[in-house]
Amino acid sequence: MNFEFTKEQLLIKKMVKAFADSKVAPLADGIDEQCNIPRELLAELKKLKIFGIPYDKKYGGAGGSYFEMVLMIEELSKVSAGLGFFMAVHYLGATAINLFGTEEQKKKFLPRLCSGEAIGSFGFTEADTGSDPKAVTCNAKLVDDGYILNGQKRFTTNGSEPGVLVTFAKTETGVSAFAFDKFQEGYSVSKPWEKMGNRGAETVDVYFNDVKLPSDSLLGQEGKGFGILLRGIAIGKLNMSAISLGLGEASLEEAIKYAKQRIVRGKPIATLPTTQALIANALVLNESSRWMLYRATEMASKGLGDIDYESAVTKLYIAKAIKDSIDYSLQVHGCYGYVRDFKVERMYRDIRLMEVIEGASEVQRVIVASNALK
Amino acid sequence: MHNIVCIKQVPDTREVRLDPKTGNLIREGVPSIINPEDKNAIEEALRLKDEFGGTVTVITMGPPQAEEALREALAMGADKAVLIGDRAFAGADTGATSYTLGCAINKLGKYDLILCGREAIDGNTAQVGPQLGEILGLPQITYVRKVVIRKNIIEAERALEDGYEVVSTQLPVLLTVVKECNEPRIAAVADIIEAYREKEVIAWSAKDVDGDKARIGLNGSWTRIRKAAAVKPQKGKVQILEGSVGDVTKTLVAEFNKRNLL
Amino acid sequence: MNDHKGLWVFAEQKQGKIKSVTLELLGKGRELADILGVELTAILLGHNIQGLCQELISYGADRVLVADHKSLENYQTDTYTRIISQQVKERKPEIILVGASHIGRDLAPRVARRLDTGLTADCTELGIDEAERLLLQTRPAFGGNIIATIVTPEGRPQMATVRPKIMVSLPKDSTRKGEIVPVPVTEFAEDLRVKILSIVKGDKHGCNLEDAEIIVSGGRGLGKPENFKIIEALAKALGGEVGASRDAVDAGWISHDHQVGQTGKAVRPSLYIACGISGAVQHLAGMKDSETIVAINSNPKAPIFDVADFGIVGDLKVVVPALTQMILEQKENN
Repeated sequence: MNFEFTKEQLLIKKMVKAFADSKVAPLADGIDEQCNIPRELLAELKKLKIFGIPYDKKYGGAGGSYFEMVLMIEELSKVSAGLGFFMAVHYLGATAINLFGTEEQKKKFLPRLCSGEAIGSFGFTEADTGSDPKAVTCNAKLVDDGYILNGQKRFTTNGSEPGVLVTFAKTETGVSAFAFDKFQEGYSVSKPWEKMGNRGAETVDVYFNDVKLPSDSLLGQEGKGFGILLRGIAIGKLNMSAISLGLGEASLEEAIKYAKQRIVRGKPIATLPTTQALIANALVLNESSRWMLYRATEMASKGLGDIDYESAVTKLYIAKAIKDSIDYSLQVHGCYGYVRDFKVERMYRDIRLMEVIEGASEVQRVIVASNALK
Repeated sequence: MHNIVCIKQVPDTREVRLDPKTGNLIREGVPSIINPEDKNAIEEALRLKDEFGGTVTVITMGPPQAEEALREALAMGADKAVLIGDRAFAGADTGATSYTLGCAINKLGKYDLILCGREAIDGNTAQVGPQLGEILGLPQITYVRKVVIRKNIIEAERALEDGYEVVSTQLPVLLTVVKECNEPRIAAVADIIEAYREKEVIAWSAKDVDGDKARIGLNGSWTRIRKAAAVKPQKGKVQILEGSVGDVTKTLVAEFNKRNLL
Repeated sequence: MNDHKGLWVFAEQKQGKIKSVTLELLGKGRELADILGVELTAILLGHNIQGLCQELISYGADRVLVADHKSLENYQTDTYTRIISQQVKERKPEIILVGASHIGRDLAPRVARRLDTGLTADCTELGIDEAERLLLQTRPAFGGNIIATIVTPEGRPQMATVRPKIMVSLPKDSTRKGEIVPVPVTEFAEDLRVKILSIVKGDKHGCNLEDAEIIVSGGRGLGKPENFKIIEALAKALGGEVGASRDAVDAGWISHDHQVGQTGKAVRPSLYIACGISGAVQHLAGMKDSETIVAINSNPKAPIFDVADFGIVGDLKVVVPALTQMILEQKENN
């Protein structure tokens, strides 16, 4: 067992933190208020070369691993979970292509995704289906030179960003996965949903109206889309947990700072046992979350263990643990934690997503329990 | 264009804490960083490379862990990195350090610019740059806040206490830069991975540097530390000035005069 | 080694005006020279500067070596280094003190290397070990967390640069007598490698907190951004820069380049005046090494008072303008 970062990972953490503190922090409130990633920031993000960390260099990737990707998302999310979410969803689409694409498909899509020129997104959910593959209504009809796609997807984050979409539709043999460029003829999006948190990355519904997909848009085999979905979101759950961990750490840092500065009856509240208890509670939850996430990510990076199970148990735990952790940190702030002037208010809204996205916690419990009972 | 940047890995003195009981420095857990103004020197060399092409070599004299500073410089875009390390260098003062750097630079071949940060945050001496200039027999421009190069002529703004001067000379030249010179780029994640996995840090020992043994390390240092102690915070020394607003301001101004502050 | 005698001070002048750090060095140099029982010499370079020689004597010099030549009008590394090094080799002083100004810090390392001797930077305290006739050079290091005393046992001369505004000059005594020794100046073409194209005064790149000798800072206690005007007025009267706490910067009252502290700039001016700053640890980390700290705050329990030399418990909106007024009056009277 080794619990130390490599020198390379330490430098990555340090540089992404420096980037987040200098380039993202001044914009973080605006990202939340306007629910938008400013284009100048996107240009800076491209220079930071963070869009293809775990992919092979021959496709324009950095040749790193999921671990470095997770560290990057954790650091960005400390300052803006909205931005962390934007990156996490990009990776959801890109990773599905990297894992299941043919050599030609990887060459076609990954270089643009790795440079950040194309932003990835991932559309599974539909208005009435949740994440049940049997109920998918989007339809891809096989024609001579490809497929004709019709239907709509709900809550597709980054669906309005130019780039590549991985989506799922019914074909003759079942549910199939497709990867193609957004905004071709017949592709349109709704106005963004007004979200409670993780604002910054736009979440829209996307509409397919006779979208013509060439035959090389099919990702994996026809009818095997569900496996792609599961494996894609398995890696996605690591990134969602990285957002959570970043939020937990940042909110605790805010609480500690506040506790040292806030004077009540001549003494900082940090000296009060009640405050200390809140801080200790938050810390324990953050620490346990951290090691659970790093372990699962290291396993995924090395291809060890059952990643579908590991990521489910990790996200199930962390989503709740960090929600509670931020609750403690907010409590340290008293009523100040409830107002927008203090960062913890935003974090409290951001974290709530994690118990419902990429399979609600109820779904994760089923995965975890089935694994135990098999 | 071949530009050489001399850097130093330093403890981030902005993160240093004192043990509240003993008043001693807590050195553990203090992160090591590239000295901030050395980073400006790297950035300026990279900026000139972006403009004119060529290569950037980064060198440092230090312990094995100084390799981390060089890796970061490689990730920022430097082409070549040299770590000059040997027990024989231990205890070097600024004179012996600049001598050693000078020997190493002479082995690196032809160059156009030698860039250093003005001063390091752990020592604040600002001496290595000019002493290196003397050893290499180069003209020097210190406190540089802006650089323009046309053919082999450099025009630079040199910061003064009350303004700046514009000076010009022919290359090669030694510059020490201040932080106003530029905003150092942040090493990109993919480039960090490449710097660690694909780039090389060349290690040179005292033998490789090929200097006069009497002029390196403690032996080659004219200065000696006789005594060093942590500065202890003096709590409770405050003198609270009381009385009317007129009284307190009067006392204060008198104190300022006594201390030569006005 | 024993053939080196005497203490020299590099007399820095700009446009015919002696820099105050030079006078401070003469004050300290006088004291050290007397302990050693040697002469105090000022070495002065420039053009049309004969008139400054008596001033240097009035402030404590026994002798002035003066190089007066057109080519020396503005400081220039190569020429100044050559002339001073030649004089040192010829006359062999045991100690040379140089002000740690932008010029002094450009010149001293170059001279020390040419003479192959030791140099200690930015001293804040100087003394003499009489038994060994050594200059005791004390300076802060490690971001001001350590104070070290350094000696140059064998190299001669022993050289040090000294921080401005630390040593105290002697009262001017115009009746003092001293020797004025002209130094012959020859021009060397190779000295003119670096040409000065222009000198621009008064233009600073934004705010220059790190180099500021005086900083007046404002914090949350100002109440509103407009009150930074009070801080600016005092800073202007003192010829200093405006600093701020993180709270004030985060509140958007002033730009980040004014921020002092852990996440802002670390400063160590001669005088730091904290107005309406409670003194969070992060702020203290950036300014506690200032020579003199004044805290003005309405809360007597504010931690800023723990590091301050002088404290005023009161309303900064009243105290600060009164202080500004009094300083301006004194300046007018002078």
